[in-house]
Amino acid sequence: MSEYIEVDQEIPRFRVNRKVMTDPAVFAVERERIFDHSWLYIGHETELAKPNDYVTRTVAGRPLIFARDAQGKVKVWVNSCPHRGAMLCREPKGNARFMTCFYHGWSFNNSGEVVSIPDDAGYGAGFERPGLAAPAKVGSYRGFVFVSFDPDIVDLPTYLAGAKEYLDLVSDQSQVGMRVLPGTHEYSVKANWKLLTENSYDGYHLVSTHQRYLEMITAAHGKADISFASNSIAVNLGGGHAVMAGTPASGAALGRPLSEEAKHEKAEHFERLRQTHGDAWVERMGGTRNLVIFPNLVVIDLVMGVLIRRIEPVTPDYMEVSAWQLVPPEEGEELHRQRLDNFLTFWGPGGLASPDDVEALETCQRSYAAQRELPWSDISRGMHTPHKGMNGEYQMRTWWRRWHELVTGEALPEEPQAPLPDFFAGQRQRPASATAEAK
Amino acid sequence: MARIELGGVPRGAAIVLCDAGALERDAAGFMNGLAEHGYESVAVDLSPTGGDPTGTTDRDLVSDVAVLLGRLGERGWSPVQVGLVGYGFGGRTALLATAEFALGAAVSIAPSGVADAWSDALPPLTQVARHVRTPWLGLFGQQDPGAPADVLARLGSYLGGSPAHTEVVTYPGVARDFYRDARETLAHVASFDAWQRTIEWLDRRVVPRPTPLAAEWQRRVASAARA
Repeated sequence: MSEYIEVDQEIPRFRVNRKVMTDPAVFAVERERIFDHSWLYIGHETELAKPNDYVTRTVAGRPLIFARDAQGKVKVWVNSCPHRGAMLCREPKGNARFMTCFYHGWSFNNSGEVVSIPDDAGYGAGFERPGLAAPAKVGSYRGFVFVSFDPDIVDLPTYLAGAKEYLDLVSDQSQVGMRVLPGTHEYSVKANWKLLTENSYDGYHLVSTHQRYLEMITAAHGKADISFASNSIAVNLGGGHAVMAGTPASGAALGRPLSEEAKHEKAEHFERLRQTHGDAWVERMGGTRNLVIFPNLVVIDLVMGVLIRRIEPVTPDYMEVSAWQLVPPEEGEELHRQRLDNFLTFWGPGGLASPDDVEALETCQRSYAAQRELPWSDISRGMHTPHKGMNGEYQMRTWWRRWHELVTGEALPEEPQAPLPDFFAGQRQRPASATAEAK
Repeated sequence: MARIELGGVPRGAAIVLCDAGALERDAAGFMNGLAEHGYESVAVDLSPTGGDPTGTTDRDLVSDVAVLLGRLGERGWSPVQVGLVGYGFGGRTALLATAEFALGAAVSIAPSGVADAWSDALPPLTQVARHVRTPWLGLFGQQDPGAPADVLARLGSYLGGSPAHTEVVTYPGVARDFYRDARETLAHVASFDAWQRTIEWLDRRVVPRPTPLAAEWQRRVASAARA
């Protein structure tokens, strides 16, 4: 057993030492053993709508350019001139076929090649003109683009393991391809990055932390109904990824009531999807999911919207958060309006939910100053039973087990999970053509 | 038609499409400005002689641009190494040409005939602008009566669906000749900003011609890749 996590199978108990939230040495080890060897989300392909579009992002502390080149291929480059290091792109987004370093004027195309060096005769004929540096690997699954700084990492689909199924459930909600809307929520939290990872699929905090939101929802619906919680589950997806998933009742209870027009449109849209994907898959699609892809990508499909949240650790007690909204572009005006309203007023940094969470996490971080007197955080809830519900903490323990394995090299004992209820096991209907081929 | 040929290795080429009847007045200034940034250029006025548009069509204008691209081609410039910069009537021509040619970049400054027909054969630009293949920047004066805000919004939205990147920029408080410098503050600012944006638009998109040493380096890289 390491000094970081204490597991007692008998009680049972799972505790995380608060030192991991404050110790710079732990942070440095995380950088090296987790962030240098994982697939890390950088952005969605639809953010780069046209050739030569680019956005700049910081991933694992590295400044990167996420771009579509002149031929339409997605590329990722290190945002630094190979000459002396100045940033090539100093804007958050734009469209350019060439990037010119403002320091000495070296130019590069968005395929990474150097195309112009002022007075290049000064370097002589033998000089090797360097192109842009890049992360070791770039991969994409259903439009979600990841990078890895580890050249020997497993391929992206293998890494994603069971999380692929949940990205499919999100991505299949459009027949023309889900798209990220322009605009980003950006905010920072004075807390360790792992706290927001935990919080992103923590069902237990809902009633207490978001009490004012729930009161508003109760008023809108005319009654309080949190019975959905008993039908929601937490699932270990492998690789440290996990999801907290609910039935359609979860979404109905947690979201503001849709207008009649929006209800009608949504029903019609789902009926069309049903024809394509089959009943079981579309029933699941109508449910909710809080998905965390290890280590720092969150995809939440809840309360009339699909949120993509990326958590960027900066220091042991400070993180930066970016969030985008993923939508089916064929959606009508009324549903779209309600979706945007939810994105702003529920998930936004000034919305009805996120400030509550930020407040909770920042107080946790401040209180860790007393970690000598109170060294452990408890993450045992639901450990005594194989039935893993949303109000338990199995999804977090799943994440922590992977964290522990990477940081210390030691695998912690697993815990049994009951078979998935039929609803959550429903699969996508195979297209008729595929069935015919199989015969 | 006027032409500036640069010594050494020019960065790129540009076709300056002057406003109707303004070649003699404007060409030298525009071309010298482009030359300062490394662009060899030709400048022309494609508007009908004497200002009589009878018989001139948009098809004629685009064909004339094709001829100019051919001239630059004879000097070794490929289409992606060429930028179009058009003013007024030339701005209209530049936008029309972007639907036909995949060039490095194009800029239309105060293009004419946006909301209203120039003549029977030259209908409103909003009716004939098609999806563009060349990244296009449109610069407008807010007080240009020929380009009201609602029309520009429609144009920008329509062109936004093009395969190439487009942008529409409107300068507040200035008329359609905002690109000429003036003492009045807003006009001076608009003139300065418009030129700055024009050069940046070209620099970010027009494919540069490699220097001999750079070309040699590219040959070595290609040769190593084949080996």
